Amino acid sequence: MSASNCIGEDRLIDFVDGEVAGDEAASIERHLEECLACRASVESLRRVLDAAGSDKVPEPEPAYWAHFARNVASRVKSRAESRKRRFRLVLIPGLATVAVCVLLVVMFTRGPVGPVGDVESIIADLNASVVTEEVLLESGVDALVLGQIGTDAGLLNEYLTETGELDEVVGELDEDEERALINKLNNLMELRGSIDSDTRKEC
Amino acid sequence: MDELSTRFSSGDDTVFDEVVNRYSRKVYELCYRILRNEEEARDMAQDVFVRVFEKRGKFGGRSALYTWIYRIATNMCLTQLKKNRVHTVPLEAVEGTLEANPDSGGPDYSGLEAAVSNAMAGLPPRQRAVFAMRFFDKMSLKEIAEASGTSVGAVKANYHHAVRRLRSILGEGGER
Repeated sequence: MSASNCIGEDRLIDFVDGEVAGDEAASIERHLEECLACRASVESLRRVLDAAGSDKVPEPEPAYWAHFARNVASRVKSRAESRKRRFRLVLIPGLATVAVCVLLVVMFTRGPVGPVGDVESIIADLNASVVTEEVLLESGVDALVLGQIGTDAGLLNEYLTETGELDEVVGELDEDEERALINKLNNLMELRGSIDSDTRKEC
Repeated sequence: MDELSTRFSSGDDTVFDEVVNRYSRKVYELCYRILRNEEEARDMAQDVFVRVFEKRGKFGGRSALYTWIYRIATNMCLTQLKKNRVHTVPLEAVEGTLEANPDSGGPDYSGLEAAVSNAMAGLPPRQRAVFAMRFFDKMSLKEIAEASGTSVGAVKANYHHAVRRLRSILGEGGER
């Protein structure tokens, strides 16, 4: 390697960093003996990295470390409770709205829905495939859901886009929450049944 | 995989405190080096372990535990900076921070810590993260690639850019 064939800066950084070994390192060292520009560059890089070593991280108060694990545990608990509240306040109404949409789709594509006993199978369908982030965000259903739940829309949207776990959410509903969803569906089915009955009487 | 990683990946929750004790300081330092804000770094370090706890079932042991934790920390810090929308101090505001020493004509390192701190703040966030893991934590390029979710080539390029930019900011030439 001659003095006229200078070494690229990136390779000099690797050299200073100890990333170059063996024959290539020996070759660079020979080049540095005869090339003032590359030698100056290496010295400059070493000064910069020496200076970088003086970058200090501020030391927190001892109390910060003393309470670190406890604070983490407290935040874990607080987030779990917050997530549970979100399920109850936001996602159940949201899921109920999605369920309404599904029922409407079923009614328009398959005619009147069957007996009340079908509700649980519809929920099972919701669990399996219908209530997914993709459906909500891409099918346009999300606009309806978000519109229905008003001021909590941002919260639901944030939850959906951050976690992508809505399909898991249904599985996390406890017995009471699932029952509440079933009741909403039952009410809807009864309402639909009475509308059908009135329509038949008029005919 | 060491014993701690094995126990953690097997779902042993009793090991979590040990994980926190072992890595909290390193995580705080990494958060500070990326965020460049002590208060945010203190807060973020604790949030990182909250996320580690919540995602513990997803640690499969394919990478080392600390690179997995670093990955969470890096992602969270970069997301935080995006939310803050204050990524870097403009180069013009910090370059030439090391004024020439009138006696020697070379850079004056008397205000070194402040100058270097400003220079670090002048790096783009991802370069800060890569530089911190490489220079301060002495991690290999492969480990950094795992921890930052990029390729070894990208890590190397980020590191080179960071050094060149620091060189420029500190008035030693390099990239502009």
